[in-house]
Amino acid sequence: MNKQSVLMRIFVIFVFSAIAVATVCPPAPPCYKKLSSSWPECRIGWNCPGPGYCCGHCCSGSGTCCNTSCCASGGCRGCSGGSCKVCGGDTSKECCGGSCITKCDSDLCLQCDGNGACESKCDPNQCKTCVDGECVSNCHFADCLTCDGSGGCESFCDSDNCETCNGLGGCVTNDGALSIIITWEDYGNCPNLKQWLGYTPTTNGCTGVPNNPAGGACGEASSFLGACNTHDECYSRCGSTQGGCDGQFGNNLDAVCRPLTGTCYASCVDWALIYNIAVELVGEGYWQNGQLQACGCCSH
Amino acid sequence: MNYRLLFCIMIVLLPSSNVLGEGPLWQKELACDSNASYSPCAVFTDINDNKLLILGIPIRSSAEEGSFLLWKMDPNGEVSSQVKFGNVQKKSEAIHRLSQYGDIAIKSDKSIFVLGDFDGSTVSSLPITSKKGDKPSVKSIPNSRVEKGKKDELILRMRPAFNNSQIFAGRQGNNGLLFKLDDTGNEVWKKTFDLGQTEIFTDVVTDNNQIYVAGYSGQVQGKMAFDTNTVQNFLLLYDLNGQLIKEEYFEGNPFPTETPQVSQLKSGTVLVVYDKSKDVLANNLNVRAYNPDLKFLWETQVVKTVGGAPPMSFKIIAVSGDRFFVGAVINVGELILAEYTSEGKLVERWTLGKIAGPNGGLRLAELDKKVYAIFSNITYDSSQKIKIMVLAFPIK
Repeated sequence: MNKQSVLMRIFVIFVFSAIAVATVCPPAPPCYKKLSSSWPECRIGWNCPGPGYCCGHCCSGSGTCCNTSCCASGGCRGCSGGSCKVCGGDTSKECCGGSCITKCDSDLCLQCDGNGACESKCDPNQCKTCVDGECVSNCHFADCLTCDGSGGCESFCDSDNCETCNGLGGCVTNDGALSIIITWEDYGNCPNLKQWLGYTPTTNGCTGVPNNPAGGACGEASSFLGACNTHDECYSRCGSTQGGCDGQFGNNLDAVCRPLTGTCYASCVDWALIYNIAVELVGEGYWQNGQLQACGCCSH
Repeated sequence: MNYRLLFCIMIVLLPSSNVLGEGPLWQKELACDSNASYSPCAVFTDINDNKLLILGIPIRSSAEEGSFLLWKMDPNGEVSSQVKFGNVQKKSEAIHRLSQYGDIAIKSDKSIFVLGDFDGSTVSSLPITSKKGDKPSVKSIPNSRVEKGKKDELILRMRPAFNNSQIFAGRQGNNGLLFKLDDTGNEVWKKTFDLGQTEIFTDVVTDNNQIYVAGYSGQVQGKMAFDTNTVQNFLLLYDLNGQLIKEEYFEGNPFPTETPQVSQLKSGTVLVVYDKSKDVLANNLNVRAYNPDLKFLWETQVVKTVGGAPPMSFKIIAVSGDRFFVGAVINVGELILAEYTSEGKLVERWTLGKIAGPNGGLRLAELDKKVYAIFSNITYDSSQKIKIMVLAFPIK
């Protein structure tokens, strides 16, 4: 085969291929309308990308021609001023459920209901109301309120447990709901002991005995002051147990001594044991006083 | 008051009639196992079997468990048997108290009666009786059972009484507590003592006629000391039905200790050892003697120190020959032991420096013409191991 013959074959294949591509367009759509005598007719062979699209000056499917555009069906689109526009380009309208209605006012948190009407997007059952176009809850967290699912607000603080809101979204003891405990018998009979919100425990170190009994060359490293103050706070924490506080006290004293060495360590450990025994022997009254001061009784 | 200065310049003032002993006849250490340290809780002299019974309480850190150990020791210091029993899961603070306030006794059926405190979370007591019953807490002693005390009760001392009954002394809330259990562990009677302050019964002794109770009263100042001006010791006389007959009061140290302790000579003289000092960090160990009707007879000073540490462990024991011994752990570990005649004349005294742990858990027992001092000692390294020391002293 000579070179000329080969080129001819390639040319023929190219021409037939081009014809095949150009003829994939579907038949002329029913919406065809000649708008101007100077416009060419739409006919088979025009390069249409597919149904529903405009082929130059025509469109296919259920769409409608609009000048040189094709207005697709649905979506409230219509021809206005030579182009396809929603609701004819009336910005005061919106398409809702296939109908053009007066636009739902977003400032009033209104939205299309999908059936040709406007509705509020704020669910009253969820205690939501519209404020500046936003749905916000009527039940303020800072007031410890939560929606009950039926349009009402309820507090998440347990008033039966003598709790009230602190205005910051936290539940605290309602001192006004507590009764004063005067005797140890009252303490024992109270069904629900609660620490007074306004009660601040007092600390006064080791009280009656040296804060740093090992002292001397051991310096402040052997001081029991911090452990004694923590022990005071524990005694003054409503609901604490003396044994628990004393146990923590012993552990804290041990922690003071552990880093020490030599005679300081030995002396420190000795005193830690002595102090631990002392609080166990006579700490009960002090602990009881702490409880009577720290606790009120919630009778619920 | 400058306590640091006092601490640094601790001075021991000895009585003028000082008679120093040569030392113990022998000294033994009871071995602790590799997993637990033991502190002596109680010692009981089993006369019939000519043995010392020594109860060891495991000192454990939180969440660890340990068992009691009961040693039988011959008068020459040889351990003839060792029994491990029970299962204690305690924090150390409860065990410290246990090591100081516990007792054991032999009941009529030869079972062992143990007083201890097994509740680390509250101030409470839990006597273990080894009478017939079924309780899994003490497994290895046959026919044993646990009796749980009330939460506000702290029982410090148990003493055998007539008809194999036991008298208990301690505290119920802020009042002194005295009660009696019969041989089967049932309560016979229970009495409290209230002076309107905090009252604690620290010791009790009884003969076949009366009951003598020692204790102290005071207004708690803070959490580990009394208001000095309100502290007073007392010695109370009860009849065998628990009726209070007479009260005697004397000075006391504001630091809470197990003083005063009480004992009674065979001749009937009632003895109390107590700390007369008004300074929490001082010792002024004295013995007061009364006749059986609590008429004051005499008083003598055992030892006096200024500064140092509060006295923590005291004991007094009447021994054969109408003598008595006073023992004390003072100055965080120094053991004092002194022998006296029934008239309060010093016969001999031993001073062993830094041999005991700070609270000591001192117990005294008499057997085979010897007095035994049993106490704990601490190894001052990070392990803080505690061993039981047994020292034998002659009765002159």
